[in-house]
Amino acid sequence: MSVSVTRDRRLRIPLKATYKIIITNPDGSIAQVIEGKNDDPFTYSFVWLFYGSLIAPSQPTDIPDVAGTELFLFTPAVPTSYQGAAAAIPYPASLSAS
Amino acid sequence: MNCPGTPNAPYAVKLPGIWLFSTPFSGQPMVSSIYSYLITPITYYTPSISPSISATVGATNTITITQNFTNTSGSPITIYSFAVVAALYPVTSSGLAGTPYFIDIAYFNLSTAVVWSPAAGMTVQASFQVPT
Repeated sequence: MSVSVTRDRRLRIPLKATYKIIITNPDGSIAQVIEGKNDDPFTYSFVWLFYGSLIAPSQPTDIPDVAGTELFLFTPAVPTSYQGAAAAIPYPASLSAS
Repeated sequence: MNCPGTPNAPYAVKLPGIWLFSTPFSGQPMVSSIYSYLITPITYYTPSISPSISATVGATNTITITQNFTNTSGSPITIYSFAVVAALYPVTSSGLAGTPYFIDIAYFNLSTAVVWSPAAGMTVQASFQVPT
């Protein structure tokens, strides 16, 4: 039997991040399996990438790359005059609804 | 050389995917804080991604990244955490730069440290279930 519930009554499942690690012996047999989860998996940089992807910030934001280099995120393009480490989120600012 | 949009950092691992660390994340979860603990005397193989996305109302979509590793160090390695790292290619006036920046997207602290023996293989899977 199936039970149908409306969307606002359904248990909401947030973003869920899980992992599984499988270690194998040199002969290919499985030596160990480890599983776990992280309910809040996102890093500092991801939050700013997400933000920059949603809108076109008026000011560039800086995030560290994995090695610690400060990387400036421009939208929609890196100004030609800027000489530092930078990347662009090519937000289609010139598009408009018609 | 410091050209605009050109990465300068000589990364120890050259491909995006899952990066392994010999210390856990704490405080602000940033790979740059524990970059010196990146486990490098091993082989990182190219990851694969399996999306299962239907994105209808009420559906749960799953994206799984899988990567294989081999301990070629000759010694046991203890793993405390790993990160999912993306490659961000700078846009230049002549197109995409040939070398990416690597940006950490997600992190996982292992509930128990894993001791990884020499010559043993390892597969790590990270799955993200995204409800719509």
